[in-house]
Amino acid sequence: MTDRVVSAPDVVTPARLGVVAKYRRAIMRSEALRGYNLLSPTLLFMILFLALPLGLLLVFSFWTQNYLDIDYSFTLANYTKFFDRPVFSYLLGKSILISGSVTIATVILAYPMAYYIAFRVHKHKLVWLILITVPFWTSYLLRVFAWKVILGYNGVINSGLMELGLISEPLEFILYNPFAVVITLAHAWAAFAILPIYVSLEKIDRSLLEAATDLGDTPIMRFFRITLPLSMPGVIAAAMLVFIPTVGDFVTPKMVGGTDGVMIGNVIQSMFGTSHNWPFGASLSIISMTAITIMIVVFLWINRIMRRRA
Amino acid sequence: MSDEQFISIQNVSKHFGDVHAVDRVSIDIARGEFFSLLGPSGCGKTTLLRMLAGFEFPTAGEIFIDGQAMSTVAPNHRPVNMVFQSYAIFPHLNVSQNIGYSLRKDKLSKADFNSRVGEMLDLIKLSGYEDRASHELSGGERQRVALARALIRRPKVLLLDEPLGALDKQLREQMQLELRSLQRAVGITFVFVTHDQEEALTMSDRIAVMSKGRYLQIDTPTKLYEAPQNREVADFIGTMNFFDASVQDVGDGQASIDAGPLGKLSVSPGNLAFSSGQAALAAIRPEKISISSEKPSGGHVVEGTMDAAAYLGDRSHFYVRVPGVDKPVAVSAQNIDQTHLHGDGNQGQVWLSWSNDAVVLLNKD
Ligand SMILES: Nc1ncnc2c1ncn2[C@@H]1O[C@H](COP(=O)(O)OP(=O)(O)OP(=O)(O)O)[C@@H](O)[C@H]1O
Ligand SMILES: [Mg+2]
Repeated sequence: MTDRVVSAPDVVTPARLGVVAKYRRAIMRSEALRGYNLLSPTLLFMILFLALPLGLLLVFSFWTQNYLDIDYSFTLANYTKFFDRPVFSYLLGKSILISGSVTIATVILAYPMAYYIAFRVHKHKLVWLILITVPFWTSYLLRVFAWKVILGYNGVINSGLMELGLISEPLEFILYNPFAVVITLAHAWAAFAILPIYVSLEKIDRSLLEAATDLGDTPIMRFFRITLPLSMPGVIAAAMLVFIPTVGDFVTPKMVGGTDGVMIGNVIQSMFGTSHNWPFGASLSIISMTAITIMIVVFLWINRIMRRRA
Repeated sequence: MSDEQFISIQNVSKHFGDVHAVDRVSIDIARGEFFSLLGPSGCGKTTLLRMLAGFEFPTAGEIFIDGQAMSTVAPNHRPVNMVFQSYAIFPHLNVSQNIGYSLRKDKLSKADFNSRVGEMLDLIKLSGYEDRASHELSGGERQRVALARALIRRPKVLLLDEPLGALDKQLREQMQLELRSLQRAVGITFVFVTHDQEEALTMSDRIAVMSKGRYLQIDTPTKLYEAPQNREVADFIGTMNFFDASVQDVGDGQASIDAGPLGKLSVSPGNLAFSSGQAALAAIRPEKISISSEKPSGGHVVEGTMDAAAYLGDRSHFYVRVPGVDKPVAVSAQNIDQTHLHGDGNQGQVWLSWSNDAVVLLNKD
């Protein structure tokens, strides 16, 4: 820099140099500025593809649909509509309940698998992890269809049971209801739960487990006093990874949920699609997001209190 | 079961595939003893300790603790507790929860629990640390918490796997003394693993020197130092000068040997057996050799030239070349009146002398 100043004083005027140098010095001095500098590509991407659409969604939610065109005047009408018509809160509540069940089912299914790989597999752990993700190499839609085939009226379970003579007519209650949605989603998201739980289990220092045994714990006591609490970060990550995206899912409920299995995502999708009411769809999205955020904050808060008690 | 056989390790082996980590070891440890397992890295100390704790099962042999065979006792039911090398403090629990970890099944009231934990905190001088999180402790404090946690139920035996290895020298020396006095105070049998010979000598009642899965000698620190039974032990504990010798005559508690350049000596063979004409090793500790620049009058004297000298403040180490001996002879002397021996690059003549009972006779393996 200084060399250039000496050799070409007419190009870099003292005033401009002052600005550049000032900027450089500020960057070197401020940790935060340097951080933003480093982040800038990502930050730009995030602003462009996350913050901007979200802002747009928020703006849309304060407009209203007038048959074919949008009324751009600011109003809370969409929000009042949501709270005036109980069906929407009912659907949101049901969606949260279904995803909650999915989350619990997924974590309970994923934990033993992650535990097995972390503690019982000694060689080729990576192979095991890759094998677990194999079902996820197929499309999400295909997997949902597969469950339709398994649970359907003429599906694998029904024909199997009939073949065995255990039932005389196909069972109808196993498909097209919230239960089918829970099974399908739990299976679809299992891999996302296994990985974070596996990582947190793998990190546990084995001598802690030996110490617990040495101090008199049976294997079961040791699990609840040491292994589970220390793997909680993985369980929480897994729960979030499953809960957040499944609340808004609309494909699975549409395919295997029937009328009882309808979720808030289906309504939002129809608002942006056939019903053609973007502003109301936007406000439903905003309300769902707020509800999910509140749920998670409450969840983390309960978890923190539980930890302090232990 | 006698008190001498409070812990009885009988012909125990542990193989990991082809590795014989512990190979037919038999050791008896007395009640209330501070017993150390000493040996170089990989000699099987940890494996032996883990078999006492129940984390490894012997391939062969049996371990008895207080008369009870351990082969069918699970680690959580054994009357032993362990202090781990890395301390294994539970990171999600605070100090008092860590120390009181094993009290859970006693279903104590909160007040009883606190008083039991408080007693231990007093013992390790960490009162007031009850609510500290484990990451707020220094290395020495973690070590003490691990100790208190292992002692709170008064086990019959406390196992310690290099518990001082991670501490700096000063803290380590302080903890050695504290650990020793703590052991005396609680009267519990300690089995202590270390590869630091000085540490083992300072703390132990008896030491088993191990090498390659076997033990070489079990003795008190003084015996190990003064009367090692073989070359490996003599070499591992402290420094030793070895000289080739041949046994000439074995008499009543005395043996006459010809130690080549050192001349003919009359030494005590200890409890080793020698026969006339046998090749042997004469061994002398560096501090049992006197060095002077003038020829002393009596005793065994040999002449040599100074090879190197190191001044260590309270003492000096000299390396003296003696004609007919391959390696320079190591001599350690207190710096009372030695300054003249240092000189500038003193290459001069010196005389070494020693008394008969300074010489240890060993088998030439
Ligand atoms: N689980 C295991 N599987 C295979 N080999 C093992 C196992 N544990 C120990 N060994 C081997 O057994 C031998 C003794 O190991 P051990 O840990 O007892 O040594 P140590 O005396 O404690 O050494 P250090 O002072 O380095 O801790 C070593 O050669 C080691 O490689
Ligand atoms: Mg070891």
